[in-house]
Amino acid sequence: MIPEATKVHNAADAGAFGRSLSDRLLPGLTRVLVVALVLYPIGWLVYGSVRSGAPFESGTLTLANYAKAYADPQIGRVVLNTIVFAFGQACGALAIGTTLAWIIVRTNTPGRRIFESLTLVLFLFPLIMAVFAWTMLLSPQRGLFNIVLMEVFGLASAPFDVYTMGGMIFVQSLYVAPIAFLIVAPAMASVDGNLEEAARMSGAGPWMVARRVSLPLVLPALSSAFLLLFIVGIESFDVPQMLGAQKGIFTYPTLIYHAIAVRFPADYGLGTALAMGLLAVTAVAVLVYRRIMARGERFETIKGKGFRTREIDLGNWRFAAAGLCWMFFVVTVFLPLGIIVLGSLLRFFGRFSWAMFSRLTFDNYVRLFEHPAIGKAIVNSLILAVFAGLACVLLAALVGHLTVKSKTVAANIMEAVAMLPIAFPATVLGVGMLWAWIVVPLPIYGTILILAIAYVTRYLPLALRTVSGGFAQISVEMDEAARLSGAGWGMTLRRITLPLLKPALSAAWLMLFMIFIRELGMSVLLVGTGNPVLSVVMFDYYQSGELGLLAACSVFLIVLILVTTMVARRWFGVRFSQFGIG
Amino acid sequence: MRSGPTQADLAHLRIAGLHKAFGEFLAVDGVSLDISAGTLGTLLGPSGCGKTTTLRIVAGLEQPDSGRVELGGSVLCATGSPMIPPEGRRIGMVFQSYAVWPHMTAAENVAFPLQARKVFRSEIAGKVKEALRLVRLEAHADRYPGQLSGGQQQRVALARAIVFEPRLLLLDEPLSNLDASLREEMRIEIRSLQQRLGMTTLFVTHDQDEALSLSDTVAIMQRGRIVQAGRPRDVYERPTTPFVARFVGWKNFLRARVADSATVHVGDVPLALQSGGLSRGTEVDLCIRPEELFIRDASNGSDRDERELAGEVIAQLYKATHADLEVLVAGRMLSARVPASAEFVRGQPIFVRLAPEHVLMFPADTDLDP
Ligand SMILES: Nc1ncnc2c1ncn2[C@@H]1O[C@H](COP(=O)(O)OP(=O)(O)O)[C@@H](O)[C@H]1O
Ligand SMILES: [Mg+2]
Repeated sequence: MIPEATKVHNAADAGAFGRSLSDRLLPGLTRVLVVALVLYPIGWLVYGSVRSGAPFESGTLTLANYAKAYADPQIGRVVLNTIVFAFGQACGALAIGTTLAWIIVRTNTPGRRIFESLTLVLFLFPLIMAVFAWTMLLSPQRGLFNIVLMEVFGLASAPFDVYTMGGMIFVQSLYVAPIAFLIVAPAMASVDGNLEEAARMSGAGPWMVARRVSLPLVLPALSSAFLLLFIVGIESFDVPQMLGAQKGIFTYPTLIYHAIAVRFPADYGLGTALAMGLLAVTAVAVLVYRRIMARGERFETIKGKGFRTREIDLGNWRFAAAGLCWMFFVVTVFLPLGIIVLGSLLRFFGRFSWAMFSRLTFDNYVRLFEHPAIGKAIVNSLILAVFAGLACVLLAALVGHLTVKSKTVAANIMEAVAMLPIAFPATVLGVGMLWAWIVVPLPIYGTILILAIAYVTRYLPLALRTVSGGFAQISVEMDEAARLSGAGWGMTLRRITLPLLKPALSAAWLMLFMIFIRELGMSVLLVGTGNPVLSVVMFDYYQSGELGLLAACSVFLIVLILVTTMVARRWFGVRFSQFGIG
Repeated sequence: MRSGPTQADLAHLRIAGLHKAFGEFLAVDGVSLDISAGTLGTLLGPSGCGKTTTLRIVAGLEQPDSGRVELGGSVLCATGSPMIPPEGRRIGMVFQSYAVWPHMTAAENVAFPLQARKVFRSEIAGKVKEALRLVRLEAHADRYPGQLSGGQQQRVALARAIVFEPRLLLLDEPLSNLDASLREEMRIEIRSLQQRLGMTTLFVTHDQDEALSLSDTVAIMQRGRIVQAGRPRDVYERPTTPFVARFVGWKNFLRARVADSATVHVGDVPLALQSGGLSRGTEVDLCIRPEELFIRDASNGSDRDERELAGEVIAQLYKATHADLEVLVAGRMLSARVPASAEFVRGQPIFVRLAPEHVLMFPADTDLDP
């Protein structure tokens, strides 16, 4: 063993503790990377909006794009549509998510564990598939519900039409409701039963307790959930494009998409000027949201000893609550899955009839895998989901490592920049990326690399949120105890920090995998012709009415998601409550 | 075995003139403290007075603005010279939150400091076992912290802190998260372990009972300064400021005014008491411990002695071995210890006797008004 005195002396010489090369290089590199990822495309977006012509043409500076975009009388209608849609689906989703949260967290309804899992299944349900399934259920021509209702009640015309504003709000509400659940449920679970009991002892009846104590305690969660849902609604692309745009009901993002990818010739200037407006709106909304979130922290109560959530005994009503939940999940999960599987086994999905079942065939699957593009699309999507997900998690971990426990100005700025993309709607970032890379003579535009960059940029905040949750759970003292034990920076990171962070990192990766495998809003703008991805292929099938192929493709996607989720839960012990939503 | 420090260079901790500010706020304001090799010293003070900060400076987790820390003759940090990082100090520490790593078993937690210090693998198992035996946890070696109770987690933290035979052991309110009976038990255990291993130890607490019963030396801290240090008995019997007096259990305070050299006035009631050299008219605080305040029933019409004050009973609180009597005297609540068999009723008039040999007198400290 080294004699004591020498050891101390050596340690004193190593005064620059923890200043290895990587330690000095890494922060700088991370900073440059984050700034480049986030600000470069936005810089181009601003430039593109005041420039005439398409990115690959020469152009001059002009304000004509803005004039064209905002003098158009149609824009008022579109803004109104966007607000109505965002507001409607936020209300719907909040009502559904809160009810579910209340039943699952606060009552003694039987089957709560199952309902919680089903809520997460709903969360993972790709919107493309959901929309597709609901057109098969509620389309005026061939929707199963409409046909059944018309026959049962002898109606002359279909009672429901999914291709309307109402239809859009309905479908979207069902599938974004889990976002409300994920925010509201933990808030409800953290209400200390003693607080409510104290109110009861003070003489308040159940309603007064609910109104004066329980509700105010979850109100911050409710309002932040609502605002987040509203922002999600404004930015939403899949549902408005697949249901509304078909019938000329445009929202802001679909109008941008129309200008750049649908109308001929494409009007990049117009699309970009529109994107600037959308960006301004979401930026303000996100600012308000963060303000409210910051204020909400005041409401966090300190949990004393004896903390527990009070379970409300619903009596016999608990069976009614269970029935309601089952009905909800049958309608949102099992029925759509069933109709998609059925659709995948039929050559043509026309009007529903019992005779269909005698014509079941695997033709669609055979055709699907003979389709030249599909193999490549699947490989591309998997590569993106796995590796762009990994890259995003690593970057988030680095940013988190440099910012979570540091209060320096540099750290604050980096965190703020890394969180900026939370205000970038997919369509807006897509347009920015288009400008940013189309002229760069590197093999990025047209390859899946541009998608990888776009995915990592837009979802960095979400990953950072999840990873920060992990960092926050590691008390500084855990690291300090390691250092007093004699471990240096590297050993502390390897043996203490990373193992403790592993659950958060795998949760972040799984979440990104699920998002990337079905990302549509940016992909549809950026995908190269020879380089398809799964979501865009499915979108194309939908547009061109290849419903059998679309159904088969959907079934494949479901299997992929199920397998990945199971693997992640089994091997990495990922829990969904770790997802840094909001 | 390790060629550890010999008894001779066994670590004497010497802290001199430590200062540490957080922004404008002086958390540690000139702390100096000596703890002889192999003894246990305690920092006692109310929450927020800078105990943890001092401890963290000694550990190397915080850099002082100025001052010096020496351990066994080697300088750990001093103004102007490079600081030795925590892992180079060979100091064991038990954190208030224990900071037991949740992803490692008890044995893995304890083995970590040995691995970090590159102890031969063949020796590790034996040392871990020995450390766990010392804290009576050998049966739980393979449990994860999540499967251990608070008290057991704390023993893991303790074993982890002593396993590498540190030159100094730091304990930051290690008992504050335990319930009362366990606290008593761990207190005795920590003390006997410390004496058996002859380890220099710096213990932080806000509990005077703990401090007085455990330590060889006690230092009382107030607002970042050490206001009195010494043997527990000396501090307890001869506090030098009203703050220290109150902190070590002189609970009863009366405001009085010096009348002449042998009399003070409490309100306008004269009380026989030597006032030393204090000049007439000086405001003073009289301190007396509950167990030295004698109560006598006054309802039978007997006269007041010149060493007594009149009051009335407010409440009697029964304890296991005695009762606490709350009485109102000259507008202040005083607490007296009476036999459990005593029976006083609320509102009963009484006399309290202030025996001069048990009364401390300080110039009045306006800070201390209850
Ligand atoms: N990192 C810090 N930043 C700012 N203030 C701090 C920090 N650490 C401690 N303080 C302040 O210093 C004072 C002393 O803290 P501490 O040493 O933890 O007290 P104690 O352990 O005696 O309760 C407290 O008022 C605390 O708010
Ligand atoms: Mg403290």
